[in-house]
Order: sequence, then C-alpha cells, then structure tokens
Amino acid sequence: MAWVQAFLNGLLVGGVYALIASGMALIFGVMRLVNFAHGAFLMVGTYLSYYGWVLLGLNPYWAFPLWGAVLFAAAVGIYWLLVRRVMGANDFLQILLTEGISLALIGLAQLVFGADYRQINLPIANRITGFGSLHFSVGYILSFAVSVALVIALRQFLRRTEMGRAIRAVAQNRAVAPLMGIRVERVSAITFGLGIACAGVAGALLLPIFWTNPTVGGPYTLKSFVIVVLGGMGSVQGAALGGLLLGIAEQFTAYAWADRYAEVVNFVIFILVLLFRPQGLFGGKA
Amino acid sequence: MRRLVLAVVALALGACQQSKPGRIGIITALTGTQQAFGQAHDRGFGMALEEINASGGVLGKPLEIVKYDDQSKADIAAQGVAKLVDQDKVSALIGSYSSESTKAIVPLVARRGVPLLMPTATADNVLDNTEGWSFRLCSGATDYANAMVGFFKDVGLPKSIAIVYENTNFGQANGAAMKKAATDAHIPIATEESYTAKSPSYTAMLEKVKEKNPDAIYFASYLLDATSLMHQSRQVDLNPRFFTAAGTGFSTPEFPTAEKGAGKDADYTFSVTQWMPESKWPGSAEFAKKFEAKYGSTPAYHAVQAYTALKVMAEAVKKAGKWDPVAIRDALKATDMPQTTFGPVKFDARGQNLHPVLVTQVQKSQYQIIHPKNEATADPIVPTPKWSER
Amino acid sequence: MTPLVRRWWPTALFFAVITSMPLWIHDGYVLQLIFRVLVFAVLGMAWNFVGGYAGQLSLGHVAYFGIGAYAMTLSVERIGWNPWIGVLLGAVLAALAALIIGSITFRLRGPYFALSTLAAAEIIRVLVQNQDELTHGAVGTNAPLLFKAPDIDAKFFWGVIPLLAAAFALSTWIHNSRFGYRLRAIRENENTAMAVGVNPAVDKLLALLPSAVFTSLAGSIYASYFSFVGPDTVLTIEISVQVALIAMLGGAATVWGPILGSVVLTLTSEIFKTYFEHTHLVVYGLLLIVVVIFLPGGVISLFTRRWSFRRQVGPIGAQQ
Repeated sequence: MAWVQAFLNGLLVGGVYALIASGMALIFGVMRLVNFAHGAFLMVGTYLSYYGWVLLGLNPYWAFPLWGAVLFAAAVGIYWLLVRRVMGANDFLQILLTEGISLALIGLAQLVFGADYRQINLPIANRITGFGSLHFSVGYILSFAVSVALVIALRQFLRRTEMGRAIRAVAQNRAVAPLMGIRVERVSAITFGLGIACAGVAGALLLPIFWTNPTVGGPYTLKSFVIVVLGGMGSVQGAALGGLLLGIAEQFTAYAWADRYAEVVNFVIFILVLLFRPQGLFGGKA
Repeated sequence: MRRLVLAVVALALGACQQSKPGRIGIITALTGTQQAFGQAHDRGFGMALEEINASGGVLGKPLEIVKYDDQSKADIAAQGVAKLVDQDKVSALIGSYSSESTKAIVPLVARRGVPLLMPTATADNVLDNTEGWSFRLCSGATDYANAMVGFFKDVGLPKSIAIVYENTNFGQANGAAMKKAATDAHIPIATEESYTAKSPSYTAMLEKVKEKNPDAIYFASYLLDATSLMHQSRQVDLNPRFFTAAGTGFSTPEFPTAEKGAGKDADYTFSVTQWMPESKWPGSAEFAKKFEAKYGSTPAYHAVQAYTALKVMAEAVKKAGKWDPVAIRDALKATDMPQTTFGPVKFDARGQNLHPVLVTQVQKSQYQIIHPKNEATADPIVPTPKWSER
Repeated sequence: MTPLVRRWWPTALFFAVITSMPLWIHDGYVLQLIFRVLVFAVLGMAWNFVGGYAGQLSLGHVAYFGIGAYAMTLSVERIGWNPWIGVLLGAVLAALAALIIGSITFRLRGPYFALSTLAAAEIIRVLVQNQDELTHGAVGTNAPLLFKAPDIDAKFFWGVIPLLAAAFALSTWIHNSRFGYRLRAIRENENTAMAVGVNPAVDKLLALLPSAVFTSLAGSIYASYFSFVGPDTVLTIEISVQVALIAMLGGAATVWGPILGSVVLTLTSEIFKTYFEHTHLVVYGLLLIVVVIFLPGGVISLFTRRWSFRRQVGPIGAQQ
C-alpha cells in the first residue's frame, strides 16, 4: 500500500514538474535556447502569488492566470531587449546571458524581498483527504489539477490554433519556416513568453504547498532540463509525461532507498537517458 | 587593465592606513542563504553596541565594530578574517553564523593570533584545532541531544527513537549527536532517515518511519521543513509518543503560528532551545520587548547570542585593559559572568561555555519550558495525543 | 629587440610583477585576494582547454576541484600521508574521473554535453555529502596546511605561481600546436573535423586530462589555504559556472583571456561586495548581460585588434 501511496504522491508533485518542464520544452524545442533563468522566473511567479495573496487576498488557485499574463508580458519584453540578440549565436553566449538574467533576478529579489523564506497558509491547502489508508493533501491535488489542465490546454493550443502551428513549424525547421510566411522572430518572442509563463504559473501553484525565497528556483531549472531530455527534446507532451515520471521516480527512491538520494535520481536518469535513448521517451529522431 | 590598476591601488591604499584605535570585527551571513539568521545577528549586535556605548563605551572610548559579510560561504568567511585582521586591524573577532563558516575561520584566527568568540555554531567539531584562540558561547549538538535525553529520563525513556535529519551540516551534526546520546542511554534506535532539505514532499520517508513504529522521533530541521514535516506527519498519521527536535526550526517564534509555521500541528512538539524570552535569565524579557519594539518581530535565540557575545567581548576588553589580542584572549579565558541575558557565561578548558540547554514543549501554540525543572514554566504533556484525537 | 624578446616581454613582466608581490604587499588581505585571482585564473585556463579550444562547454569542472581538495584532506586525515602526496593523489584521481566522466559525456553534443557534466558533478557532490562516515558529510572539516608558518600568505602565493606558469605554458603550446588546431576544428564542426581525419573522441579526452589535473591541483591549494573542505564549499555548481564564466568572459580560446576574466570577475565581485553590499549579485548579473551584448568576444577583445571581426562572430567562431 505504501508503494501505491508513494506512486500517487509522486504523480501529484509530478504534475507541477510537468508544467515547469513544458515551458522549458517549448523554449528549448522552438528556440534551441538553453534557458538558465527558468528557475528564476518560477521564483518570480511565487512572489507574485505571495504578494497577491498577502496584500490583495487573491487565492493563487484562482489568480494564476493573472500571474501568467504578467510573466508573459515581462518575458516578451526581455526577449525583445535581450534574448533576441543571442538567438543563433553559440551556446556560450546564450548561457552567459540567461545566467546573467537569472543572477540579476535573484539579486533583485534578495534586495527587495530579503532572503527570508516565505510561505502562505491556505486553509484548504492544508486539509487532508483520502480513502482507505491513502491520504493526500488537498493542496497537492489542487496544484496537480490546475497544472495538468494547463498542460492539456497548452497542447490544444499548439495543435489547434494557427499560432500553435506556427510554433511547431519553427520548432521543426527554423530555417524553412519563413518560407511558409511565418514571422520567426514574433513566434520566438511568443514562445519565450509562453514558456516563462508556464514556469511562473507553476511557481504560483507551488507556493501554497511549498514556500519561497529568492533562490527557490535553482533546482527546478536543472529538473526541467532533465525532464525535457527524458521526455524527448522539444516535445511538450513528452515533457509533461516526463515530469510525472520523474515525480514518481523521486518518491519511489525516497521510499525504497533514502530521501536524501532522491535528488541523485534526477541526474542518474538524465545520464542514462542521454546515453541509451537520447531521443527521449517520446522524441522521434535521435 | 585600468580597472585592475585602480582596484589594486584602492586596496593597497587601504593597507597603508594608520592603525586606528581598537575595534572588534564581526563576520556573519549578511547576505546569501543564511541571510535571515545573519540579520538576527546583526540586530543583536546593533542592540548590544547601543547599550555598551550608552554606558560609556569601552576603555573610555565608544566601541567600534567592523562587519564582514561572508555571504553564507565558508571560504568567504575565511577571507573575512584576512580583511578584518590585516586591513581593518581588529583586535578580536566574533562570528560566524553557520558551523561551516565558523570552522573555516577557527584555524585562521589561531594563525593570526586573534581571539574569536563563536555565538551560534553548533557542530561539535567546531572546537577542534582552536589552539586556545577560539571560544564558543552557545551549546553544541551534543548538548542538545543530552538535554533531550535528560528530559526523557524525567518522564520515562522511550522504547525506541527514530532520528530524522536533513543532510546538511546542521542536520548531520545533530543526527549523529542524538545517535550517540540515545545509544549511551540504551534507547534503541528504530531507524535513521536523512533527507534533502527543502523538498516538497517527505511523505514517502515518513511512511517508512511509521512502519518502524518508533516511540519517539527526533527531528533536526529548519523552520520550513519543520512545518512540512508536521503537516505531513499528520497526513500519513504518524503517531509516536514524543515528537522531539534539535531546536532551530522547531524553536523559532514562527513555528507554532498558522501564518508562518505549522499552526496547530506544532502542538505537543518538544524541542531544545538556547534561550527564550520567557527564560528566567536577567534581562530576557526586556531584551525581547526592546527587540520587538525596534524590529517588529520576536527575537529568536540567534539575536540574543549575538547580543551577549558582543557584551562578553566588550567585558573581556575592559578586563584586559588594552586592545591587545593576547590580553583579550586571556581575559576571555577567565570570563565569569553568571548573570547575562543568555545565562551564565564561563568557558571550560576547551573554550566551551557551559550553557544550559532548555527543553520546551508547544502547548496551545505557546512555548513552555519543561526541563530542567528549576527553569520550568509548565509541566510536560505526555503522551502526545494521536492526530485523530486532536 | 629580438623577436623572442618582443614576443615574450609582456609575459615575463607579468610573472616578474606577480612573483614580487609578496615582497612589497604586506597586507594579508590583499595578498589573499590576489591569490584567489590567480587560482581562478588557473581554473579558467584549465577549463579553457576543453571549453574554449575544444568548444565543449563543461559545467561540471568543480568535480575535479573537489576531488583535489578532498583527496588531500582525507588522505592526511585517514591515512596519515604528507599533504603533498595527497595533492598528487588528488591529481591522479581527477585524471581517472576525467577518463570516466569524459568517456560518458563526450558522446553528447552541445547543451546535452553541458548538462551531463553538470549532472556528473552533482552526483559526486551528493555522494560526498551523504557518505558522512567517510567524508564528514555536510559538516566538512579543516584542510591540512601545505605550507607552514611563518609567512603562510607569501608561501601559498608563491606556491600557486608555478601552477599558473605551467597552465600558461600549456595554454600557449595548445594555442600554437597542431593539437590545438585539431581542437579548434572539433569546436567549429565536429563532423567536418572527423571528415578530415581528426579523432574527436581521443582529442577531447586528451584535452580533458590536463584540464582535470590542473583543476584538481588548484582545488587542493585553494582548500588548503582557506583551510576548509565541505560539499558546499568545494563541490558547488557555482564554482563550475564561475570557472566557465571566467574563461568565456575573459575570452575563450585565448591564452590571456582566463587571466583577464579572473581579474575582472574576482576583483569586481569583491569590490562590489564592499561598496554595493546587498546589490552585488544584481550588479554581477547585469555585468554578465552587458558583456554578452557589447563584448561577445570577451574582455580580451578590448585588447586584440580583431575586435570587429570577433564582434560579428562571437568568441569562438561559427554560428550554429
């Protein structure tokens, strides 16, 4: 029974991972950009959510679209100002730039908010529910539900809308896309905005079941990479499933071996996938 | 190239300053991951400085302190020693916050022949290699564990104990200390679980602990994990007779609150603490009130450790009669202050202050001191009611 | 002036000035600061073999740094060896680790390679942190002294100069040799390089070996000077990133680049800390952004004549 519990807990946490990683998959898949600032934007999302609740009484489970919109706008702005200049340049510059953005955001957060931890206490998030001998935190269930809904919505957007198709076209072949009448720059900006919005909303949803401080995002940047590789480079669907799988793998490791080695699972999976199935679980070509 | 030259010139000029009147140097984590605690230190130091200077300063002049931010990193702390001693010419040092940063500076102050007073580091190996130059004000991990076992002896030893600690220096030091203390007291260890701090979910680990059916659990966690662990203990319905902890997260003023801590889930937890506003040491209540008035929050013990450390150091300088590091070190060695806000201060041969550790329990969202009996403010409530019965 | 003198007098002057510093700088703090600049210059140059010349963006170099620091410390503590033997042991272990990590990670390209090196370093960190009976875990321990009193600051300072000189010499040799030429070919386009007879698998490993060894030696001396080893001090991602930044910012695939990069980054970081206190991280981040946008060739492009060429093309050549 404990295994079932671990499985389900992992699934719940994995839902949020799926959302974060989907954002990364979009950015990496479409723009080939290694975004080291992903976690920092997640952190920004958590702070928006925090102050939204504390100052304005906006429940994150309802207000997240607002935070997503704010981050989308900010990300598009950052794209036009900065990221655009390293598109097509080599990896070094992209990493330098996104790392610089990450450090600046974290530093700013430390300056403005202080390094202190913050958490919120939504009574509903702390409730426990369950059936039989299985227990779940309602907060986790809510965060999972919203994350999964958003990932599904993202998938529908990519498949059914014109912009979604344009995004996928650019992901498939950036050089040829303009020949199809696609404005690649514009698509890149929107993709970046969407990807960052995913990270930020995930942060907003993470806050009620977790906490925040300026450095909270770090591990999630790395995790997102691992998941994107696990799912298949650039595949949003793959990233979503990869997120769920990683959540489950972590909980199983914690239960079967030791909690402190759960983070190693991230890296071991990463290297194993890269070595033995580099196209990921759901990627098409290697 | 220009930038380099300018920088080097600036630093070299700094080195050519005339030596100023005596100062005390302070290294702590003013930024970085431990910033919250460094800030508590900063505030404690500030309050002590004010009071010292309000009553005439030290050796006839106002006391000056020089701060260095170690950014929560041990190698930067080590660098701080060089800056404070070589450049700023301090005659004595206080710091740092974390055990790692403190450990890093201990051999360096011995190398330079400057006395160091450690306010907060709790790892037991912090007093190795001091060569007589370093002193510790606070109690260490072993003292925590011994105090908790001392409390157990009052109410009946648990039949088994599970030790759950984060895999950082704080957690590992306290986990090891309790393992030893429990073994010495013949309490069987049900299991040991080490976890990665600040994870979203500990339920898998807590299920494992539940399966071993421990009579008591000893946590070593900071506030966030303390909160998560208590909420999730409720979620998995883990019901030992005692929830105990090695202080820190489980002793902060925020822990029993609903907004910033575990709220009702914190009730009945036992913890150790180095100090509380309710403690009977002179000036405790006043310190807490003044702190709250100035900064708007209840002080955690780190603030009072800093406050007391500066006062103890100032006393040592006065006793030494001059700003000479050797004389100050000897004065520190001979310190005997039975009535500080942090309790009696007297260092043993190793440099350890024999600071009494208090055991507390959260009762109705308030901390009560329940051990040792002569400091107690309430009786312990044992056994802990099951989650379903609360 | 003979061509030899004309070519080498700046280098000779540089080393002469550096070597003389402990004689006229008596402030321990300044010496220590410059010591750090020099150690990170070595680290940057070592990284450069793999990252700059071969174009393999390793983000896991701290693994070798930590191996050097821990091997020295633990061999003294557990086996009772002389710390210098421990340093040698560290170098040997680092080379071994390089072989293992390299043979696994070099199969990957671009960002996948970078992330896999990061993952490898993190695995090592987690293992060290959790095997506390062996390594003291997260609590860490004091490192042994490679040089004893008196004049420790000067001795360590002079201790790192041979290391710097050796790294400099190797960098110069690589820069001008056929090996370096092959590395650059791999960097520009690995497939094309293979087509003209280069064996990337072998050459990348050959670049990684001295890179790992120098990193390990630097790690040992650094840990010894600051007298502390702990997973959060000598095995952090931050150090890996910092080392890569130093080389990239200074000018990748150049000999002087990492030295410049270390001077700029290490000194500015310390100066920012003193004068900007709480804002130094923001300023640091902004600095990176500014350099990427305005100096993509690295700081060294301010000094080389090929400034406009580099500006167009970026620090290491072709667009991808």
